[in-house]
Parts: sequence; structure tokens; C-alpha cells
Amino acid sequence: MRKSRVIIGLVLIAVLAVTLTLAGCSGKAKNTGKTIIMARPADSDNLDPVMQDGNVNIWVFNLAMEGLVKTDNEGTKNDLPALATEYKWSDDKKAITFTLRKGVKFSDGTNMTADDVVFSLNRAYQTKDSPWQFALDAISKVEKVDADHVKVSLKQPAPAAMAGLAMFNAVITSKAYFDKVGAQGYSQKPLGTGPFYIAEWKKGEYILLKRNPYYWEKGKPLVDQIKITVVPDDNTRIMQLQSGAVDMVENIPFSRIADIQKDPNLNMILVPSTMTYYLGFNLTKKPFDNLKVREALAYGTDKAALIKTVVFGAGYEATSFMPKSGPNWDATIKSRPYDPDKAKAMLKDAGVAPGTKLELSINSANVTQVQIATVLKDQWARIGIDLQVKQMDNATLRSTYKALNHQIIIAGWTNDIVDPSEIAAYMTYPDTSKNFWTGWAIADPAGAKKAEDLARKAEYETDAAKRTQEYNELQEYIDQQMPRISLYHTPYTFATSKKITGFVQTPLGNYLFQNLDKTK
Amino acid sequence: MKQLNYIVGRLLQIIPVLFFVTVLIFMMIHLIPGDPAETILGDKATVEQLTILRHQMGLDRPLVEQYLLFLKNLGTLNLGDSFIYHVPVTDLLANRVPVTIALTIMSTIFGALIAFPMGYFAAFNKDRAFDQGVRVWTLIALTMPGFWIALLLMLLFGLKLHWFPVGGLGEGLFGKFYSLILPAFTQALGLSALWTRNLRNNVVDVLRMDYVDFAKSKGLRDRVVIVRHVLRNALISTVTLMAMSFTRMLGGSVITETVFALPGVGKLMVDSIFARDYGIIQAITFIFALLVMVMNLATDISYSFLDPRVKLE
Repeated sequence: MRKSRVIIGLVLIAVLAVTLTLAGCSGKAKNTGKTIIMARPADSDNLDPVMQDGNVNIWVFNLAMEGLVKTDNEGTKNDLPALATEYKWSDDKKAITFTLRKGVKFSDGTNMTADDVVFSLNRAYQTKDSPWQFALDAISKVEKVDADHVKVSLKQPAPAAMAGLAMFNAVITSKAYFDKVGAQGYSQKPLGTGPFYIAEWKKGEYILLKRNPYYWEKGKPLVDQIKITVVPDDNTRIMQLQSGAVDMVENIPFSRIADIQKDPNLNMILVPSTMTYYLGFNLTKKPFDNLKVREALAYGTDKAALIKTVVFGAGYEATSFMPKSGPNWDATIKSRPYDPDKAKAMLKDAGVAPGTKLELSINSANVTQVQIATVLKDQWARIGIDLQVKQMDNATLRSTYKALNHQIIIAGWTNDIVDPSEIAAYMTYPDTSKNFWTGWAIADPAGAKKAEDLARKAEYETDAAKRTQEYNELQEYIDQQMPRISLYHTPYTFATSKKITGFVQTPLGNYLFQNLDKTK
Repeated sequence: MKQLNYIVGRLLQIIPVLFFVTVLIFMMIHLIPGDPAETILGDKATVEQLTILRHQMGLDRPLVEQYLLFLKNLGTLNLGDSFIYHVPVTDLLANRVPVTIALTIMSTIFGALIAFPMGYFAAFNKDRAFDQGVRVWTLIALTMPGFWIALLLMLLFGLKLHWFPVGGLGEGLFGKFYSLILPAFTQALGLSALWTRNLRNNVVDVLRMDYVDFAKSKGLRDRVVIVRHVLRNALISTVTLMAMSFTRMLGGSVITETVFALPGVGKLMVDSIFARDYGIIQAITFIFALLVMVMNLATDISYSFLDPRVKLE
């Protein structure tokens, strides 16, 4: 008995002693050399460019992989040379021949060949269950011309084909490596020619990227390592930045932007993005089949108040269904002004009685959606609508709107390519997304068909001026028909220590860290 | 021999219970709406792409067949693959289970270090200033949300004083232990408040018992009376409470793990439920059902040491 008491006592003293000793040590992580630590809210899940879905993956493997062409930093051009130094369209605009950059190596030191290019592009456009196949849908064949040239043939002249080839799923990988590790191994550690390579992935904790010693752009990148850690809580991420434990932080909540702007040691960066928020109606359900009702709800929605309360003024009003930071955005479209009296009168005309209950389905874990719903409930109460907010988890919500069982949802969109055809197709092609989950083609086949025809015509128009005109016509038509209300656009929010220089993020969200550096 | 028979009997009882657990987990995750294929491919996927993926994942097979496959895999100790991460669930758990177990053990030790002296002295100073102070403290510690305590501790000890790291799991054994101190302390505060109140009340009750008076009148020293008669009897329900808290923490402490950015089991479980990652949900629920049953058995066995009247038969 006495002996066991002594042992317990000793253990307790030891625990206390270790705790107190540790408490005296400094917890501040010291950054040595050129390693940059970046904290983000969620981990990647699959790094296979062809099969993954989501920015948590794209933004990481894009640091390690490149395509034949790339976009510019502003996200307006999509044909800048990357692994191809130049390209040539055929006279009939149905083929593009790329000249490959000489001396490019993968990060394992093996040479990139024309066969690797053919293999990678074939996999990107032929993999049937890839969610990104649509972007390369115009391709009919990819073939090796000689050791330095690859020809991409198209089913028909398609201006969006170049944007598709600059997209993340058309990056080039080593065929030999893919054959060796298989699809599953590749999804854990893809191999590319980018400025960094994926050295280690500790799930739920961090991904370590190291400098690719064989990178073709001489002298780049400027840092040895980038460690991307997972820190789900917003406040913890910001505290880590303030304490110096990390150098950069992704996804700053809008409510904290002003604090960070005031901090003399930090840079708050707002990157213009194509992020667009909408209110999406299900047109197959009453009363949303009535254009008058949809318009009345638009007049009853105070976008300025939403921007002020939900994103603390960091966003800007969305007018068209297309993102303002993307190509072919129509500046002539204006929002319907906030006019609750007019909204009430229009609802009365449409036979919607005051006190009518409408249902908004939202993702309970998405703070932005909860905030929009709260503000909207108040705004619509002023026009006599009793908005019922139905909260559910994301997987349930997705099943609900995909089956068109909802009334109204809050939807978000970001472009993946520097071309308007992606969002136009999503909004108007009935087969893929049921007209962006509005069921428009079911409720109003003739109206939706008109939009679809306009979008298909513009997608394959080779004359740039004509194409712009056609996309403008489409945007105006959709604004008039209003299957959804465009609410606002928001920027990507990023904060770094003042020591960080050369940070670039494109409006598509991709990081370009070749010139990223840290001063002592 | 009787004790051994009891333990073997209880262990055998675990088998049918675990079988029902497998049925329950399987039914529940398949009955809730939401489709893993849709989660993986996102909104931009076509119907054709979804059909291909569902087939590859075996989700288009009859539920009974899927269940039997799950049982067969379990029988061969194969917990299956994660739909989302494309790696075996065992690989995912291998890194996370030790974090959760270490956090649980440290929280329990810290909690006991706070609760035992406080509960004990509060009982002996019943209704005096110390007891009142402990009551106020337990009330505050119980009502303050965990994430709030976590943020305050990080702000003070991490950001201002730089004594501990601001979240994240450290490198190496020492670094890991060091980074777990603040999260363990956060959990310990809430736990210890509950245990303190429980222990205080138990000690107050036991002190009123005749056998305590009898022991004192026998001329036993105070220390002996307290350790042998008071504390031992008072601990029975506190141990039960501690065992329950321990098993609950083993299942993962989502809030602590999220705020302190620790790669533990709780956050993985919640993310998997949102993503409908059946493999992970099934594996974690199964493992923790097993652990809860083993812990319950261990608690029952501990009674026989604390109270000689309890026989394991």
C-alpha cells in the first residue's frame, strides 16, 4: 500500500515538473532558412488533377505541376507559354500544334517527352468519370508529331479549347511514373514539372513541398520549402500568423479583415476572384415559375445591405450571372434597385398573398449561407414573405437540390477556366446541372432552349467581337428571365507576414509561388 | 477463478453486442440522405460520371451484399478504404488514434490533479469560504464553452507569453507532448469542474456515515480514516464518472481538436460524416464501440478494488 502510494506520488510530481519546465520554454516557432509555412482551413483529399474536386487540392498540386500553356497573373489571358514555347492553329482552326520546351525535366530528374504530353492529355480528356472532362470536350485526338511537337485535334473550331488546355486538369505528368505507382499512388503523390514537388503529406496535418531542383525556369523558385498546414479554426490561424508561427494564412474571415489591416506586422491581401453568390429558384415549383414573383423578390432584396453585413463591405454587387473578374462580363446590366413597395405590389399582382411561406434550404455548416439567410429573412418579411430557413448538412442539401426538391438555395460559383463557356454551359445546358439546379428547361422548355442556343452559338464562335456580342445577348436574356438572383462577388482573402514578398494568386485561385520569398 | 470466469464471460458478451453495432452503423449511414459519389465529384459531375463512380465504389450493389462485404472485411481485420482520401482507413487512423489517446490521458491526469484536492478540501471545509469559492469556480468552468476557454488560453499563453505554441501538433515526442499541454488543460478544466463537484458531494455524504464515526472512535489516525474509509468509498461514483468522460474523450474531442488544430480522431469523424465517407465512419464507430465496452468492463473491475463488497461473479 505504502509503496504504491509512493509511486503514485512520484508520477504526479514528475508530470507537474515536466509541465512547469515546459511552461518556462518559449513556444514561438522560429523560422529558419527559406521555409515558408502557410496555414489553411482544410486538408487536401486527392491530388490527382484529373479526378479530384476542389480548391483544397487544385491549389496544392498546381505548385508542382504545369500544363502546355498557362494563364497570366490577372486571369485574363490563357495562352502564355509554359511547357510549350509556342503553338500554331491550323488554317481550319480544328487543330493546334504545340512546340515543346526543350530540356524540361520532371522533379524526379527524368526528361519530359512528347509521349508524356500525349499520355497526360489523353487521360485528362478521355477519363469518363473526371468532373473536369467538359473543359477538354472539344478535343478529338492528341498525337505526337515528333519528339518536340504534339498536335491536338478538335471536333470543331472551339475558341475555349485553349482555356481548357490551360486548366489544372491538363497538366503534364510522367507516364512511366504513373504506370509505376498506379492511379491510387498518383492521387497521393502526383509528379510534375512545377517549381515544387510534393515531398510529404501527413493527412490532416500538413503537406510539405520542396523546391524542384530540375525546374526549367533558372533561379526559381526562391524558397526551399513550403509547408502547408491544416488549421481549421479561423481565430487560431490568425493567432498563429500574429505569433510568427506561420508566414501566410489562407481564408481570413471577412469580419477580421479590418483587424489585420491595422496590424503593422501583417499584410492583408484581397485577391479579385470570380466568386459569385446567387439565390437560386426552383422554377418547377410554384410560385417560382412566375417571372413576376422572381422579379419581385429581386426588388425586395437589398444587396448593399447584404454586402455590408455578411462580408463587411469586402464584396461588390453582382449584376450578371457571369463573374465580373472573368472574361466577357457585360457591364451594361444593372441590378434591379431595392424597392420594397414595388416588390409588394408585384407580389400582389402575381397573386402571392402577404404572409406566404417560402423555403430557403441552406448548408448549416456554411457561416456565409447562415448569415445571408438571416438577413434575407428580415428583408423579405418587409415585402410580406415569411421565409422559412431549412438548415441541413451539405451532403443532404446537395441531394435535395440535385433532385429539385428545394424551393430556394444559396449557390456559389467560381470559374475554372479563363473563358465564359463554362458558366454559360452550367447555367443553360439542361443535362449537366439541370440549368444550375433551377429546373428551367423543365418549367419553361422554350425559354430555356433560347438561352441554350445562345450559349452553344457563342461557345463555338471564332470571331472574338461576335462572341462578345453573343455572350452579352445571353447575359441580358438571363437577367430578363431571372432564374436566379445574382447577389455579390467576393475576393479571396489572404494574410501574410510583412516579411513575405512575391505572393501571387490569380482570380481563378491558383497560387504562383515562383517569386515567393521571405526576408530575414 | 470466479473473477477470471466473470471477465471471460463479459468479454464473450461483447461479440453479439458488436454484431448489433455493425448492423446499426451500417443501417444508419446508409439511411441518411446524401451520396458519397456526389460528394466526391461535386456539383459539376454528370449523371454518367456519377454512375461510373458509384459502380466503382460498389454503391450500386444491394445493401445486404454491401453489408456482408463489410463484415467479411472486418473479419479479416480489413477496415476498408476511405472514399475521399483513397488510402486504407487503418493508415489514416494510425497517426490520429495516438494523438487522441495522448490527449485523453493527459486531460484525465490534469483533470484529476485539479479535481481531487479541490473536491476533497471543499468537502472538509463545507460551506466555508474555500467551499464557496470552489462552487463558483466549478460553475464558471462548467458553463464556459470549451472553444472560448481554448481561445483565451491560446491568447494568453501562446500569443502574449509565448509559453506554448498556438495550436498545431509539435515535431518529435517531446514537441508533441509539449503541444498537447494547452489542449489537455482546456479539456481538464471542464472535466475537473464536474469531478470536483461529484467528489465533494460524495466525501460530504461519506463523512456523515456511521462507519466513519466508528473508525474514529476506534482510535484510528485521521489519515487512515480518510484514505481507507472516506476517500475509498467516495471515489466509487467519481471513478464511474471519470471512466465515462474518458471513453467520451477517446471518441474524439471535436472542438478541442478543431481550435488547437490537432489531427485527432474527432475531427476526422465529423468530416467523414459530412463527406459520407462510409469506410471511415464504420471503422471509427466500430473501434470506439469496442473501446467503450472494454472501458466499461475495466470500470466494473475497478469497483471490486475500491469496495470489497463488490464481487466479480
